[in-house]
Amino acid sequence: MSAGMSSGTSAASGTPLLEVTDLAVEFRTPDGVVRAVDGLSYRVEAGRTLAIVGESGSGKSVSSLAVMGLLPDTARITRGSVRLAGTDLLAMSRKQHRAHCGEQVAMVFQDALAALNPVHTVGYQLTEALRARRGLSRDDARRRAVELLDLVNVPNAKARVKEYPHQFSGGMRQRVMIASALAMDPDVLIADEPTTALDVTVQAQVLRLLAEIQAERQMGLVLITHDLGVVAGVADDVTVMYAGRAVEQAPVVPVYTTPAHPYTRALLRSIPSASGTGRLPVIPGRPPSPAAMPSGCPFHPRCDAVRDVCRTEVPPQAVPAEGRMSACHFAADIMAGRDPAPDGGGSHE
Amino acid sequence: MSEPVLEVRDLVKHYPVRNGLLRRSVGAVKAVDGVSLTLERGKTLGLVGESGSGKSTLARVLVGVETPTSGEVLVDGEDVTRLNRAGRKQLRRDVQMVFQDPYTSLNPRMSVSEIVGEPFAIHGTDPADGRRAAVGELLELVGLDPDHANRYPHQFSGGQRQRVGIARALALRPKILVCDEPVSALDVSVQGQVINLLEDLQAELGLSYLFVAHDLGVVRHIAHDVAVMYLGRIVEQGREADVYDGARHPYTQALLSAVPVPDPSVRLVTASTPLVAPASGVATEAGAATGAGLTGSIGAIVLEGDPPSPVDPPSGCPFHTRCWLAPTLPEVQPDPIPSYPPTDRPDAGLRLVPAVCETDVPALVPRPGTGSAGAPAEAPGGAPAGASHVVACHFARELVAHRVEV
Amino acid sequence: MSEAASAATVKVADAASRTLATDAWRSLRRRPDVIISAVIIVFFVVMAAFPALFTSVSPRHCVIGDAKTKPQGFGNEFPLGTDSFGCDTLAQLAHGSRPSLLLALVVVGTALVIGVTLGLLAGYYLGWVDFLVSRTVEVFLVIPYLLAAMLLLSLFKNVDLGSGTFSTIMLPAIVLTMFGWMGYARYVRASVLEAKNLDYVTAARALGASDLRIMFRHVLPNAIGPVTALIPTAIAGVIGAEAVLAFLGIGVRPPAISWGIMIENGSSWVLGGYPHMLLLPLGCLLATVLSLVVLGDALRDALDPRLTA
Repeated sequence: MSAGMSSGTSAASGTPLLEVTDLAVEFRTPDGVVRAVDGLSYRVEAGRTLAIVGESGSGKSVSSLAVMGLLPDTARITRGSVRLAGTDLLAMSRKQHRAHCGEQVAMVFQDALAALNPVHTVGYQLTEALRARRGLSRDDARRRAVELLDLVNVPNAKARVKEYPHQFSGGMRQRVMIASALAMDPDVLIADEPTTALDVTVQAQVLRLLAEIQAERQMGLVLITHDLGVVAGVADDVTVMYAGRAVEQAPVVPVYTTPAHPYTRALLRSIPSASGTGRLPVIPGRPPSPAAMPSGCPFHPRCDAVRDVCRTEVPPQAVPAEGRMSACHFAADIMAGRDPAPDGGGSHE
Repeated sequence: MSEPVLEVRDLVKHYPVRNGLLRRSVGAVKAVDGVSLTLERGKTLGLVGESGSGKSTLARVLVGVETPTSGEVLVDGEDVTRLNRAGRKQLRRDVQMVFQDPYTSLNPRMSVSEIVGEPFAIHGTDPADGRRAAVGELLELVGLDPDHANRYPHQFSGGQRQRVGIARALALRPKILVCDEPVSALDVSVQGQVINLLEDLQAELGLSYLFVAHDLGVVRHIAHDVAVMYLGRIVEQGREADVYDGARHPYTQALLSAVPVPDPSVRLVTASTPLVAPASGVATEAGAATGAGLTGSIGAIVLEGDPPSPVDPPSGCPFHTRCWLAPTLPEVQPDPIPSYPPTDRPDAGLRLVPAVCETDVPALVPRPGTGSAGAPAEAPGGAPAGASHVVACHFARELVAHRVEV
Repeated sequence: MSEAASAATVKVADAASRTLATDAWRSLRRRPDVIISAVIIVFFVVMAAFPALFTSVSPRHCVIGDAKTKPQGFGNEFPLGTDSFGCDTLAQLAHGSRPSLLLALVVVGTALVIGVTLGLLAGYYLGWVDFLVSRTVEVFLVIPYLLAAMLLLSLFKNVDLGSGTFSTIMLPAIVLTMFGWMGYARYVRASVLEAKNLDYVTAARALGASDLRIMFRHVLPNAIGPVTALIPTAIAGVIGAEAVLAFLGIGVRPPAISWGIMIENGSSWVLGGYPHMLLLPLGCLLATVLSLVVLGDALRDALDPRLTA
């Protein structure tokens, strides 16, 4: 029973299906403790798609593993809460956490070939959870598996249920993964780069599938990606991550038209398709590694609007406008499209 | 007009499939099935296609790593497929390759100076100032610090490793660089750096690029001409603006329609949206700088299923089994005999397409379109120079932009 | 490896030019386990080369009356005891080290060269080369090597090979080499199949590198890793196998003594109250092999650029 079936799909007003608050995850490495996620908060509502955008090292995948309880043993969640229909998953034991997940939150991964067991048929894998948790009989489970494959538009489902993962093409495998995620009727689906490895036309098919299923079931969808085109086409809300933190959060249109963080702004400018010919404006340097985080604002070494305060003070989570967040000392200026005042002045919000 | 630096004529590369104890040939993977293209000096030809299109195989043949089954490859007018071993070694100096994966394209046990210096060692041509100086120069050319030459690849980031790969490819001063997805494995913020580097090098050294990629946005930015491949053939080729804004082949149109663009007003369409039909809608503002401007949305043109395998390509036009245009044409006749072995789709055998699409392979010829004077003067099969916009479709036509009702 | 992870490993520029070899040396000489292992190996090598340094008694001087003496400690007549024939154990250990170690070195070395070369060629060229090599491997795997050993023995029964160091080990060396190369060939072939499709090999071909260069510069260094892990155990296997061959009369030619023979003889007395006859040569063998394992691993890691820096 999912709580919070909000009546409308307007901006975040109802009870969220999934709410992550101030999540922090650390890893033990031979070189010491490394913080991969440092204070991430987001919410997912029914029928809405949240896109989490980031590059490598941003912590986007780690955060969703934390939500699902799939972190490796070397990782530790040091603070924060993950509320699923009001219940904090992190306050439970690992076992309880896993029990909740799979039922109410499910995950789809990037590499379907690696996520599916090559020695079991697709039908077996689709219904594994159903048979284990809900005690379905073999026949019932088989029927359900065929239903699931039909749901994701795999043609000839009855025959294909008996096939093995390697007999499916990339796009089909991804559909199988989606089907297996949907087997338990989750309220929230987390998709981690589900289409990155797929051809463009197949990507469109899979994204359509996700959108249709979401609309049908009023699921919350968390889409993790680095592709700003996909985000623009599919998302309702966007969270931009950098160096383990959320640096900007907003509904999708304002993020593109009036970005409130220099990183978002620079990222949008550097996409080849958007700009014409001539030199691409690029972001110099590269994303910091969690082991060597810059002082103050983690983006400051690469920022084109950097000021003194950025080097020393971690920026607050500013709210430059209703429904928007930007972790920048000069969020209001960036959002308005002007450069912050030179050092010595500066408007903070 | 000087002759093109690279010309490919009817290139074919088939890989025999062998079976049985005696390794009898039971079929062939027709990776490249008759490709003709030209690359102008100092320009970039973008080669786009999905998996199974044969673009990577084509790249490998051009670099000399694979030998073609038939066809000609002319570098500066000289047919390189006829060369002996020594000649081919010489060829390497003219055509080099930049690889996709920065993590596997450099030997982890060789230092960067050894990697970049290897071309000199192989060809026995040490430059006048000595190899070390030359290596240093190359590293500087690609924006790396020559003092880091003694380091090993794992000590560099992905973007830096790509630069090392580019330096290695430039060592012998090639005329042509075949870039096989050189930025797909990099972070978005780093992609731009490498793209800018490639463009700078082209301007500085007069290089010609064959840029193989699946990312249409990147190709649009860097390429002057674009060729679209499907199942081992080129289905459309022309100037970048012609292909992106005036695509005439249904596959190109579908491809462009599927590409997401970073514009939140261009949204993904779902099943409730009717399929796009050509030449039937109302023309809207030309506007959008990308292919989705054709339809104002993503995924409006739906291609069902997966591309057929190159082992068993369809007869006639390779695209006819997935073509969205063919079934809508007035020339369609009912065909009670399944024309193609049934695929996953239970109704595949009954798919109705014009007979000519099933029987005749379309030639790559210029087509009349809106705005061009259009009589196809060239004989089919004779691919003209890159100036014209050529399409391989019996029914090629431009998609008149109209907005899809969502 | 993500961008972030590799960024973390970039170090501050170092002015001095350092090669992989000097780096390896520097890291190796600091490790205590490597030092101890090296000392042990050196110790045994010296023992093999100059057994007289360790004992003044001849191993063949066996007085049956002194048989089965327990170790008496150093300074006495039989510091490590005697075996069932009255031969001094210490003398046997010292003199037996040479045939054992030499045999191991020769066999493993030769088998390695043969196996790696064949595996490399088979994996790289495939086709009929692979066919020949793989079938040969299978044939040799199937033949019981003891049978072949006995065949060889009968061939050489009346041949006088002389009495030099090499002649004492020649027969077991031939047999063990003939049946010792297959494992290396298979491992290397598998690794080569994997390595030759990597982009950097394609890059080398695109540059015009010759097959030989590609094989030895690009493929082999990256394919040989698993094989080096086999070597220490292979050495132990050779020494043990030699003992079995000695039983058949095709081992080290008497009156020479080897650790293998000592182990064979001593194993029948271990429960009879004289464990030293087995434990001492076995201990030497284990010490040698374990030291080689440590050294081998350390060397392989030191020479792998990805693990240094």
